[in-house]
Amino acid sequence: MAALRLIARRFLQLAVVLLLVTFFTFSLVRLLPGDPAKTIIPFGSDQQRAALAKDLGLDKPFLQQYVNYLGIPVIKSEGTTGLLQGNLGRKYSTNQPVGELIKQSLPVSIQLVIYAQLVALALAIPLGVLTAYRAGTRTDRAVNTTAFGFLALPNFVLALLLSYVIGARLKWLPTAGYEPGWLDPLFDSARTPSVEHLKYMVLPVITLAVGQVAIYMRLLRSDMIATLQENFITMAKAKGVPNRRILFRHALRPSSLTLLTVAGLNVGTLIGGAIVVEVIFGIPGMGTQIATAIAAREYVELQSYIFVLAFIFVLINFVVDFCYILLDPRIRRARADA
Amino acid sequence: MTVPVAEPTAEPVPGAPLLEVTDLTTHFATPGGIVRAVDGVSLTLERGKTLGIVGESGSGKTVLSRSIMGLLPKRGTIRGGSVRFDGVELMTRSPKEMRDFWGARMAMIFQDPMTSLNPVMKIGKQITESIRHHLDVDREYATELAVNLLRSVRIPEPERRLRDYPHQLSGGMRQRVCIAVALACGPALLFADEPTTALDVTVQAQVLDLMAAQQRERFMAIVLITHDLGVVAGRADEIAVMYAGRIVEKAPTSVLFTQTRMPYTKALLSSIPKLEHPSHSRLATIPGRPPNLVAPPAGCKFAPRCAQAQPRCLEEDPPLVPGVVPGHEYRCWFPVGTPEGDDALARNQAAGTTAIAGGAA
Amino acid sequence: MPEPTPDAVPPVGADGNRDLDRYAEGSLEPGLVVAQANLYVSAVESGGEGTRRVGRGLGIGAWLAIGWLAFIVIVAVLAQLGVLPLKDPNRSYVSCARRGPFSTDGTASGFLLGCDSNGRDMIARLAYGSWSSLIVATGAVLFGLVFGGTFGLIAGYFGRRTDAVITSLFNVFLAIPAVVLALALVAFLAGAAASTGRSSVDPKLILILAIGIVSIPLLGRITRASALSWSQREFVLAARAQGAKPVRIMLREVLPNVLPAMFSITLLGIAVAIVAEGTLSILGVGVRPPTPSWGNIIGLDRGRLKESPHIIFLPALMIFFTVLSLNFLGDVVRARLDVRESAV
Repeated sequence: MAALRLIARRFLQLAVVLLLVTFFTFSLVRLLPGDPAKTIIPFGSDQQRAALAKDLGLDKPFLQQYVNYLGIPVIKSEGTTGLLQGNLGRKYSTNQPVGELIKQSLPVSIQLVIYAQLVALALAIPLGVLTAYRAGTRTDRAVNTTAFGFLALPNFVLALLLSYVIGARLKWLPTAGYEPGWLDPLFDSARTPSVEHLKYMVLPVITLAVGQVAIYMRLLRSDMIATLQENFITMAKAKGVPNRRILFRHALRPSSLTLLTVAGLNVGTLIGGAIVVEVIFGIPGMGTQIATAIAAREYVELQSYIFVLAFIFVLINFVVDFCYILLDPRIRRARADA
Repeated sequence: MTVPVAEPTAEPVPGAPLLEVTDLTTHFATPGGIVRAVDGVSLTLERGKTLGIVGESGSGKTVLSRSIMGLLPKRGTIRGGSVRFDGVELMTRSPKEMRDFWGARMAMIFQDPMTSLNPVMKIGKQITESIRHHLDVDREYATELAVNLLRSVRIPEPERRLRDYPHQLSGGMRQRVCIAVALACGPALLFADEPTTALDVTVQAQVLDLMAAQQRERFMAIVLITHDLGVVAGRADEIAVMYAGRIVEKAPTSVLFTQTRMPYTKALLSSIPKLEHPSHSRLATIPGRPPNLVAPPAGCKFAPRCAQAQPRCLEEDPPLVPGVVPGHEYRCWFPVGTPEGDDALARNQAAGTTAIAGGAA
Repeated sequence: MPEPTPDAVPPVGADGNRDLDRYAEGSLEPGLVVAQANLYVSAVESGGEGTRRVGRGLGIGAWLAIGWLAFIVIVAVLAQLGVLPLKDPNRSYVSCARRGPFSTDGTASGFLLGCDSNGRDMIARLAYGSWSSLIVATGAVLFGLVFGGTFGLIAGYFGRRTDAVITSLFNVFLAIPAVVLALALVAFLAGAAASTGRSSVDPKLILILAIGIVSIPLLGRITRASALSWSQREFVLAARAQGAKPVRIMLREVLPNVLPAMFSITLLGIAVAIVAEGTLSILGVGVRPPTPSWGNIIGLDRGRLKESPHIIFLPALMIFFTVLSLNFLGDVVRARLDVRESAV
């Protein structure tokens, strides 16, 4: 079936991209001028560096190192485990397996991003529909100007603003800290969810969502304006269908395709991309982990984080493509016709 | 089968024609100026009759139909004149009131059936939506009505088709579905805007026959809009020819063909290829292009392209005058088939040019 | 008008079916294109639809934007040249420490906007900071344009395999969230500079390289889309038929047509880069203190938000207005060029 072939092809393309990402992060440390061990621990002693070099196999040829890193069976050196065996390395200073750290921090980021997307969509969809329906009127211009303003507001500025006004001055909500939510126990059974979870998430979620609302609203507005000019909308009008029904039942569905795709893909990008927001609000998610790892020059740890982020992104991409290919009745039919 | 009819919002006036359009104008405000898409059109239509409106693209025929129905967007549109449906003035109705008319008392089918149907909505839903909005019936009854409608437009296996999406049907079937959607609530007036242009020739006749059958069954009036004289020739009781936003000739069908007066109509007739012509004969065309609707020329709007144009045509705009047969009107200073017209043509042919210096031909 | 088409959704063909083969080929992939920055760009530029364009002349908004930007640039340049009567941005005045513009203790005279937590004059730091922020942002975008643009041009012109390879390379970088990638690059570049003993490398250069590299795939995709559509025009075919070499065609035929679209992208790109610099500074890897930049003024005193909010919000305001002006101008420029091309 042609759809299967398409899916397989997509899978291959994405797998290649993921592989190249690992190659890139791996090479970054190894290929820069200077001694890699010195880059990783610039302030350590010579013995520490020698031990590290042996540990990471820095004495072996580059390609051999890479193969070991990946952990391709048969080709890799004896006794080493690589990425494909699930070895994500260890944090140098505490010797904790990076997998553990990810288990603790990933669900935090995921929840943050999902909440933000839901809030953003809940606001963007009605606003997008409204401004498309009233395109060119004062309402439209007012909403659009506001959105334009929010687009120009960097998320760290908004984060600090909210932190100051609502957190420090009005003291309605905490400005830093975290309590586990519904997703955490799934990753780490030691955590128990708490209602306080939401209190800590409100400000960061608002910060992230606001930036997204402006983008999503405009995206939907564009698409809806185009759809509203289609013949079938005039046809629906000529049937006497009331305007609200036309907007939400007829026009919204065909126009929302791009928006939903983008929202889905954004989940992937934001999990790591919300770094600043996490850092400012003290949310212990992937972003904070990455920031700390970089500050502490834990490059092995960083490598794994980047891999996991890229993996999630690629995975989401693949799922989105999968849905596209399978669910769009027109694509299926076109292939069947051909 | 009996089709329930929706309650009217305003009382119909007994004895009034179904549709009475008086001096309708529709102008659009654009950055380039005011476009006079419809510039003073008057027509009447009785129940059960068919009016054909013929014109090139840009003649204003599509705008006319949408303007009569009131479907044009409010912003930038300036309408004037009067449109009376069953005696009720439509120009002054609010959109909410118009919605009671749309679908229930007047309906429209469009040129391209692929784009007139919602691609992501099932056929059945698109039909029952209209039914359930206008008529107070439950879902099962609406579905039953939909099945019957599909059957009456000759779609095989109607129960199955309800669950299909538009792209799963062929072009001809889609247009039939559009007809079904339009007729769902039993309107008294149907606008068919180029209903067959996007279809195969073989399917065209079927669709037109179907519409005629429905018309007889429902005693419905049809306004058939097309650029193709061949389509209206056998189907319309009366034909109105539009040019540059106005009606330039209107007559009962046979009269239009036999007593053509307006040169534009004549030119349209001559451009229809006929079987009797020898092979490889050149198709007659009308030279030039339709006028700029923002700044139309003074005088007759067709003069720049007219074979028998005279100086007077460039200066004075001819009004609609009645012809010999009642119901025949035309707009020309030197009409075809009259001594003045023949003279004008002869003079031009002798001089080798028309009234326009440099000639538009 | 060959506006770069958003590669998000496969176009609907005339008969309502999607163009499946192009979809499969990957040239219309919905994924791996949606980087936050690209979304941002399309969001800024989508505002004009459905609204009527003001005909002649630039609106008041555009003039305000130009005015602000001119002001900032002039201040930055003059401050850097030492021409302005500003205090030393690195000198601490103990009396002023943490005092804001509206402090109840009365602003120490001469410090109109207050000082930061080290007692350094805010006005001076903001003025000198403009230079750092603008240089980094502009440098990064130019770097990205040169390299990303070149790759994009090549990919768009040659198509097929070359395009597939280059796009895959872009996708590799796009698979990593931009901030993370920039952070990683800064860290690695700084680490490399340190380990080879060149720790005196200007951190601005590192930032320019890092943000520049991150922007390469983003700008590259846009250039590629534009180059792709221009390359399919007949005049390119004509040039090829006359035996012109590819490099010549790219430079003489395709590039001049792609450039106008890039003007507005450049403006938007600088806006994004300014925000990026701010983000990196907050995370501690921006321009190295004591050299000020808008970002690191905020970053350094982030902890003092409660007592001395002005330290945070004054540079934030500068960033906001600058980004707003750049966005607005970017949109205006694009609208202008659009109109002109469609009139042709």
